[in-house]
Amino acid sequence: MPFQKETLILGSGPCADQLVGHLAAHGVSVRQVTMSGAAAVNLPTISGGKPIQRLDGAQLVQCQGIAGEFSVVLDDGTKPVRYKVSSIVVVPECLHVPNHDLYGLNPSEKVLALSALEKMLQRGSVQAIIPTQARVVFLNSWSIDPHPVMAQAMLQGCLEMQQKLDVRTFFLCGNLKVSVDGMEACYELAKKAGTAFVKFSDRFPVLVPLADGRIQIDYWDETTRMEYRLVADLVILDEQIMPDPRLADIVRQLRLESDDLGFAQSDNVHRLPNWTNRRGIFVAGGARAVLTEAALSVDANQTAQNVIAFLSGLDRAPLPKVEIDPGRCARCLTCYRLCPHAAITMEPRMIIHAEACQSCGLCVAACPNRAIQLQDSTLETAFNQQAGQGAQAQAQSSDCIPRIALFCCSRSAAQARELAKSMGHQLPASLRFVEGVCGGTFSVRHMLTAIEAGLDGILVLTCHEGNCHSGKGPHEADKRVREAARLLTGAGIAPERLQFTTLAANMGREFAEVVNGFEEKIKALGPV
Amino acid sequence: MNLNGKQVTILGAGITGLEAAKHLAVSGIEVVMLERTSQPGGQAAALSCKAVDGCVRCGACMVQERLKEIMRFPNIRIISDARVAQIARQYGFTITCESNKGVSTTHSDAVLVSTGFQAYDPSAKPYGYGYIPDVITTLEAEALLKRHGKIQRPSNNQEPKSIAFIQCVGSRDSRLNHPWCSKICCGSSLRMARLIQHRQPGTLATFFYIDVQTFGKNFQHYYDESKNTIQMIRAIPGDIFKTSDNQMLAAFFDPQTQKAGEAVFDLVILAVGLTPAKENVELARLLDFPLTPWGFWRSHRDGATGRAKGIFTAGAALGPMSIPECIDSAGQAAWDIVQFLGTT
Ligand code: SF4
Ligand code: SF4
Ligand code: SF4
Ligand code: SF4
Repeated sequence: MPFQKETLILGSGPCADQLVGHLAAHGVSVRQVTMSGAAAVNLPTISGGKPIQRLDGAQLVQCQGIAGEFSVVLDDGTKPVRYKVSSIVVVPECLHVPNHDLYGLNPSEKVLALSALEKMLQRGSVQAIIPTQARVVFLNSWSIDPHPVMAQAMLQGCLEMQQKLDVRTFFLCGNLKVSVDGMEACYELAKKAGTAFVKFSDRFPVLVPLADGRIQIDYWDETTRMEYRLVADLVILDEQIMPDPRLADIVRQLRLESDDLGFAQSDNVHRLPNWTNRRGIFVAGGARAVLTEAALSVDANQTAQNVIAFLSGLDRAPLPKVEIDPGRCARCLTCYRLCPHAAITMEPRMIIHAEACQSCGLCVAACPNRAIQLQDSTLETAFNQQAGQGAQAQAQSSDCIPRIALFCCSRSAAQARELAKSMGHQLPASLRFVEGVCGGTFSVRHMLTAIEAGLDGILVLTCHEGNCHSGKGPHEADKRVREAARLLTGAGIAPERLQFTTLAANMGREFAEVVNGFEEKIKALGPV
Repeated sequence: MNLNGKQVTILGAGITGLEAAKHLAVSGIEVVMLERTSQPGGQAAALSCKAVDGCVRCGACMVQERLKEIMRFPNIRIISDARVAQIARQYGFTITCESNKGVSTTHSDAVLVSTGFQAYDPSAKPYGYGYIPDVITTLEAEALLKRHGKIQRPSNNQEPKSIAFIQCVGSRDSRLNHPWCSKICCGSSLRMARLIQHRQPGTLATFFYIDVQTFGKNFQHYYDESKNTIQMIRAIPGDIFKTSDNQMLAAFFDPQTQKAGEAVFDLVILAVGLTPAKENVELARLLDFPLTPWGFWRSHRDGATGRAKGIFTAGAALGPMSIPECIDSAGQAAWDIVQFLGTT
């Protein structure tokens, strides 16, 4: 078995526990840090699997090293302990925060958050707090949109009450979220069972607590175009589902990307389902998104699978090697700061770790001392060839076919080019094509050398912002094109000879359009 | 787990099948994918990129990524233009399939059904689809965007100045006995509307809806922005007529004025829902596997399947799913297949 070293699981709850069980059963040693502080969850029982080490309520206070050889420090409040782990999975549960503020209602016996209701429904104790024929009103957000997972829970709670108890339920919402499996059917059932659904688009209800604690709701109904007053014996509030606030610290310690909402995975489709910007570090369940109960279980299974693929070294194809020449390195830390995959360490020499490096070339292009080499023979050969051909062509002819080089990202533009060809689009005849793993490979020097060698125009094509595997590729490429264009201007060469454009892999037609448009532009400019 | 020598046949090489194939190949399994159309990639491959200033996370380009990724596995084979003719079950599955390369037989230890969905055919709806040329489906709009990069009116190849997007066509429809939300159409229509407005500035977009469904992680932000440029009307038009000057007149009940409203548009785009593929019935018969009352595939985890040994199901064949959900579903099925093969 190749899984000698441990995998660290940060988090507890159904998804984490299921994942831990799977990994252990497959012979992976697991160390689980529950984030709750209390050993609230049952240990999965594994027959013949690896033992599971558990640390309750510990904090991750440090993480060094790279995929396969992380060195983490965990502190459970007594003393910090260092562990070696080969991979890390971040999998905390989401936080539910009742929307009292949103509706301006204080918690009381007559104003319950959904989780409180769910517990009472389980215990069968709801009846005790409401009169017969009670009016129970579910509030599922109108001024902001609720998460479908919350809408699902609200709808299920509402249906259960309407069907089982002697109550009259009302469901007040803006957009009713039914994009979860079975929810449209659940909505139909609730309507049949007698739930009244009232939806608001722009005129919202007014909620007023009465002296006896009940809530009076005045609203304007859009379908009947009439004012109504409803006095609720019980109000059920929805909740906001948020990432665990402790994720922020984990994200910082592990040098992970995060999204606008605070989840530990950037909002980039290429990170789906469980990948992060760092090889060997995974996110699952509440670390990456708000998921339904069913989806959490699915996520545990697929994460186990992805972790095992990594531990067996089968998670990716071999990549070209990137190395720092210690003789040239001035330890300026440019590369260390730039590397989106945290593949460079200082120990004290700057070292690029092949296990973590994704060969994006960002550091290669940015190193001020040209101390980093990317052994991508295809890139260098193509580049030298193109430049060489350019020089020859310049020496030979004065024809009016512009000599254009395309610097393409392998994941977007290069695939869009294949697509354009297969769709039968015509491309300029005189294109020179240089492909790099990421658009961040291309340096200012590449661009200037190509122009010097006699090319008339260079088009740099990368992924769209937010769709780049290296995260920063488009941004860096754009910056470098601007910089090179500025230098060209200084040398009296039209800056329009350089162009930066973003494309997705599925944009075959647009690829042809952009390239042909660029050729037109360069034609109009004439030779350098 | 070393599963070298085990074989799995995947029916359908869309995003779900491709993702599952990758997982299975990592475990050393020999994977044969049978694809009904001429190319792998499935229906997501027909979608155009909706990026405006940056990526809007529609997920369509994940197909190209998965296609590229599986090329590194010699143990994945794809047979295109394939039609399953016969399935014999004895020590696994012997599948006879006809393709333009002739008849071939593959033996496998497990089968994954990832045959996807079929878009709803809106001919039966009162929207004039089929005889008013400028009433088209979202899929046809996608094809226009793929081909021209812009939206044109099929009747005269002019760019429309006003477009109506009608949601929930064939979904959330109790009269059709379609008690499901298709999940993806709100997102794809809004993204499409914004792409068109970006490429064809000045285009008026009107969005007729029941409820706008959440898509993407930062939905609220995207939705709030969309409402700045798209007219949102919470009603579904009852009828669409063609006017004498070649426009479409949509009649609807306007909740704001509480009156019957009317508006004219140059183009109508119907957000057609996800329905079961019509091939499901025949394939389910060949596999002796039960479908849901609506004709979708049951999950292999569903007790009602009698846990049919060796048959697994995933993706939009089970019901409407977004691309990220298909990825998850494929991961689940692959995991279950690996566990199954590891114990047989
Ligand atoms: S950017 Fe270059 S010089 Fe600076 S630390 Fe990295 S390798 Fe050394
Ligand atoms: S090539 Fe990219 S991933 Fe590798 S060390 Fe440089 S910046 Fe990091
Ligand atoms: S996810 Fe969608 S919007 Fe983003 S780049 Fe890919 S195809 Fe374009
Ligand atoms: S996603 Fe939107 S358009 Fe599609 S069925 Fe659901 S509510 Fe209707």
